[in-house]
Amino acid sequence: MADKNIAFKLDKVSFLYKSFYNKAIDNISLIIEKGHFWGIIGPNGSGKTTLLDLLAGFRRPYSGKILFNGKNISEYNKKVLAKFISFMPQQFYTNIPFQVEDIILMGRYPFISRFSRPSSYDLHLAKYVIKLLDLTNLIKRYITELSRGEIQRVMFARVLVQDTPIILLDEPTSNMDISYALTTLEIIQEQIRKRGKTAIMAVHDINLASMYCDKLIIMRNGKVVSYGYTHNILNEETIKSIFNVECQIYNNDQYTGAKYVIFKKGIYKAANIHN
Amino acid sequence: MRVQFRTNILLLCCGLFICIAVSASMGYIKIPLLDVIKITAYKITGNKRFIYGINHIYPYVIWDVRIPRILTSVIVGAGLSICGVVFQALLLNPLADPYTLGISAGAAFGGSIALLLNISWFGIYSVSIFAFMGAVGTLIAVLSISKSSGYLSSYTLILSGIIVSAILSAFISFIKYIADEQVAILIFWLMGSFVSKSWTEVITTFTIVSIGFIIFLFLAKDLNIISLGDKTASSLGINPEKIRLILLISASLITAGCVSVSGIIGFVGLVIPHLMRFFVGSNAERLIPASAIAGALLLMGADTITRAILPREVPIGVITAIIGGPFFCYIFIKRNSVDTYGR
Repeated sequence: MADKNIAFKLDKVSFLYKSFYNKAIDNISLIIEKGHFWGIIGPNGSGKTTLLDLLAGFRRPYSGKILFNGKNISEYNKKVLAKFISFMPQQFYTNIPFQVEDIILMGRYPFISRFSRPSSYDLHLAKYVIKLLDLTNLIKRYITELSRGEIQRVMFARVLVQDTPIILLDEPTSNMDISYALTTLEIIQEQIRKRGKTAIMAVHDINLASMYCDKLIIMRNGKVVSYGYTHNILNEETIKSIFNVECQIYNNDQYTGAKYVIFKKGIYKAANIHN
Repeated sequence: MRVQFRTNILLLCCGLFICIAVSASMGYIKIPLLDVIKITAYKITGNKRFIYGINHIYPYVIWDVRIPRILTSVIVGAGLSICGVVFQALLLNPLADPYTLGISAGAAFGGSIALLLNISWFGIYSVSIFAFMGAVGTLIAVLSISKSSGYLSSYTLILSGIIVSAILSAFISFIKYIADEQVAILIFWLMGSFVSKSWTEVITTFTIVSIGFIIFLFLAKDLNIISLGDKTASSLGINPEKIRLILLISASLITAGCVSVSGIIGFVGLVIPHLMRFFVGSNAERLIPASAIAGALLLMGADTITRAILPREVPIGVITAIIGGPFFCYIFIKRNSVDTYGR
């Protein structure tokens, strides 16, 4: 019997890109429980994006299996899966000049049958999200003429409008200014606390991860180095071992109430010593 | 807003019918518009009373010569335009048109071979059928080259389309070089024409284009979402590769059908979708019907000019570019200046 509190269960999952010899995901076994804000951290190329692609059902594992709600994810009908899992990819680019409101409404696609138009609930939800994310003055603009930060806010709105129990996010705040970044993460946190959702986010900013993610998955070279509660596993030795960066961690920072990481300058010189 | 859009489309359809009637009255023999309507009424109802007192040659001129030609241009114009919408959205490239994947080069190659070797296995339709086979063959080649990279992406599709087109263009140049007498026929056919189209062509193109139109409307929402990228599309419950393949094949077959009947008419499939985007936006659910009507009007207008107004037939591709191009530039400049300063 599947545990109701488990969103994803990964069993010895590996993934291989066709053109590379190394495994992008190397034999990962992992249990991702519901109701948490999971952060995935790790160096460039450590497999964060690939892991999210696998969880989203966009890619199929090369070996091993991924269970979602107790059932193999590849057995789900894509349309059904879209009602459970939403995904905000890292990059977004289109040449087609859609208006922002069109794009946000596309998030309701899984819930609208082919020839009908959006219901009043769909429109209401879109309006609510637009207001929540302060996008009102952008809705008539063309996506092709927005800045990258604005595009990310629109993409986040599209994900929120999809209103799924599981939200996957690949560096959602990388181009946002700090105010929108904090707003975005706080909205996700609220969705988790008040509506019992689950979010899994790949993120580079360790301090943002520490502030908002209550659980972390730390990756390196396609493997999970450690995972669990942030306050248990985020420490100086782990950061040193995966990023090769010296740092100091302050507990219970007075602003954030979370661990706060300060990095040591001078890594470039240190790396050059071997030459 | 949605209701208003439907009304506009209906009004445009009525406009299109009026234009067809006006166009049918124009030509070497001037026929009054009222007679055109009477003849049409007679042909549809079979009631002889309608054509009482009309010159006995007029029904023949209208119904067997002009109307088939006009309808073919209308259908081909609509077909090329909706394919343009689909290709631009699928290949995520505003420069794409129905010919980007080498369909035109393939059709031209097939048609040229039939003309060069004087093949007449299929009677007067030999060139058309060879052109269609050339287009389909090219599509298969492009798809399999693109697929060899493992994943059917817009990038690999455009690249393999360009490669195959380049190879075929070289062959076509070679055929032009060795064809002494037929070279004029060949060039005229390549530039496109609706001269002496019959009801057979009307029915063939109508069948192909209307089936395609239904498929496109059915998948319009998916097409919108695919242009947001594969990962987003997949997370919204779409299999991007499958939808892309269905749309590519149907759009290519429509293009092949149109090209094999009318020759290669450029410009319509590229410009009409852009033009209509200015008016109805990028949503394919609206863009496809709007482009169909606009494309029909443009191509019919261009064909009427070359048939009835100019003293001598000029290839229709030339006309579409000459009238469509400046109009597009006008809209483009006006639109951009509003965008930059008007907000």
